[in-house]
Amino acid sequence: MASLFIINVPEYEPLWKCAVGDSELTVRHIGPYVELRFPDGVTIDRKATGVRHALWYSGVGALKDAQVVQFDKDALRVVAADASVGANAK
Amino acid sequence: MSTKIEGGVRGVDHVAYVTWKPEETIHFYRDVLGFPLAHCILAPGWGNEPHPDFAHFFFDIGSGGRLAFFYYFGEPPYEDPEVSNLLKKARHLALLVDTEEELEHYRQRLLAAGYPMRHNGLAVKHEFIESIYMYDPNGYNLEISRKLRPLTETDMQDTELSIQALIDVAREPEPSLAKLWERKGQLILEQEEELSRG
Repeated sequence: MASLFIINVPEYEPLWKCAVGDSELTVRHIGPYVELRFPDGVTIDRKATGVRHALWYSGVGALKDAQVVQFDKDALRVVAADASVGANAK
Repeated sequence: MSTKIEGGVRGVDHVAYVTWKPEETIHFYRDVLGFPLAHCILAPGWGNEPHPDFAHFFFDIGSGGRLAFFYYFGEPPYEDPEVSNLLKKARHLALLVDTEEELEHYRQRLLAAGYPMRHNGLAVKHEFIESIYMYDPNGYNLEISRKLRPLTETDMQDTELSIQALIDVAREPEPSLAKLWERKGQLILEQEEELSRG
């Protein structure tokens, strides 16, 4: 399983609330973070979050066994470090 | 309200820059932004090192803080060509206001005076602050901000983990943001494990 951590403060709430897993996605609160756990990949559509650029680009708190393959004005896409799914997204 | 950190520091007394444009600088800070002039020192070069005669003037920026400039007589304008644009942009002073109305007050004063602001003159919300950005007549990067919410224990915990991960990654060859995120994730889970073990 791979994880994307997002700090649990009001301005970043739309990010984890709009996250969509490729197959499954579990959300848990861990310390000061919301942890999104997924076996393959997760995508967050920026427009769906309503978050503007200056905030958007500081939205990744931390990763575990995961890598960012797209992080632009349209979307944030994170995949499991060993997964090829979405690795060609950007 | 005055708050101190342990040890006694409670804010900025002054920050100082060099200017070759005293008139434009005074116009910008005093007339456009409305910062009162607080003090001006005129002195000949003195001491052991060669030093030009100078004027050193200060603007009041509130809470006892001052923004100061040195003007050196006879010193030709100098710009270090080795300093990249990235570094020039990164070095900045951010001043604090309390309310949205106060931030708008400065934005309007700059617009009315025709000073080009960055980000098309719009206020930008980023993390827990909202800011306007501009360059002063010397090309120094200036920001005026208001806080959108107070920092909390959550922010402090996140800061500690970010800083620990930064130090760990910056010690290793080829530090990167991707490595920092991964190291921080490791630290979060380790901390959680420690807490659950009690």
